[in-house]
Amino acid sequence: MDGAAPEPSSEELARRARAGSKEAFGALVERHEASLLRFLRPFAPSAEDCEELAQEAFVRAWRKLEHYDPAQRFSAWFFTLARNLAISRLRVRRPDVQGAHGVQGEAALAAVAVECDPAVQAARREAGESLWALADRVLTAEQRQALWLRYAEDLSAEEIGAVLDKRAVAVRVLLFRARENLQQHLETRPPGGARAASAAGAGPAGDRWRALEALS
Amino acid sequence: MTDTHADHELDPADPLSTALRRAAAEERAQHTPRLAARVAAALDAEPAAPAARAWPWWSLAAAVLLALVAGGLWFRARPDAGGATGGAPAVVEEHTPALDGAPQRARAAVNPATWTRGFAPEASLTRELSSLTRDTQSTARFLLGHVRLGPAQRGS
Repeated sequence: MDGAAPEPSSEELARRARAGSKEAFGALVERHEASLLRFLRPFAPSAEDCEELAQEAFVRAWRKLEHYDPAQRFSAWFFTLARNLAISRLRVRRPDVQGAHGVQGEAALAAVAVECDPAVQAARREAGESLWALADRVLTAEQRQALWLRYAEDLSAEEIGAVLDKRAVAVRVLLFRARENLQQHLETRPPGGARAASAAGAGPAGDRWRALEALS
Repeated sequence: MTDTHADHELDPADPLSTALRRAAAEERAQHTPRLAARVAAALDAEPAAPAARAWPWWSLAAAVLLALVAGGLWFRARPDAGGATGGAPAVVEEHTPALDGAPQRARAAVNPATWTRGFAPEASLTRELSSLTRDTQSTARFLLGHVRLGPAQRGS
């Protein structure tokens, strides 16, 4: 029998953090850092900006923990808070962004995506990108975020809708189109290209692309 | 965490879903945590834990102020204070041993049938009145004003 105690859930950690435990909050930061950085990527033109935004989101979460209801999924609450923060920062940086939601929010995300360095994107492409890097390249920001919240955070359509300020039906459509779009790009990818050559080597990237080859 | 809100129509058991989950797990596993220290340093500058800040000073001050206002309203409205909701002031019946029998003695002072030789009704009445409460005194003064003691009744 395994004597190791099971890891506490994020909700339990948040409950402890709310009672004042900075250690528990530190565990939450470690657990959600990678996911948050990817989620916030569309809002920040550079990795440094993204990390700064993520740090601010964590600090704000600490300050607002008293408003968190442990009955709610922590990641849903936290990503909502982070997205609202990111949009408010975006509005400060780009005064033409008037609203935080809907079409204006999408336009703001698209504007930031354009600001990303194309050379970096091209380098990623050449380097044998991962499935999520491909998603970065071919999906809209909202599609990527919805897809990430679904497959990395296991949130329901309703929870994703709460984070992205959309109705559950709209989230289902968003996810369907994201999957469809991703699937099309995987199917039209030329077999045996430079990436396939690199994927032939050992390592998780090679395994990943071999698995995706089977889709087409 | 177990997905308790699974949307099966959104989460078909196809290779793409599996690949997306696996790629997400790999990306998280390959990530080197670097924000934890920065966040911890930022939190050290925070004044207090969230739980301690759940009741800020102004909410405590507001609670005290509210209690004072409520107490003041109750004090003014209590029945014996003649407040707006209390109606006419109530007569407070107080038992004072020194006053036991005072009304009877006052009545005796104004009743000639009880007078004996050498009895000074006015002095007796005044003495009794001085020991009565203010309300009783005012009643007795009213009586004094209406009782006319003639020379025959004063004794000699």
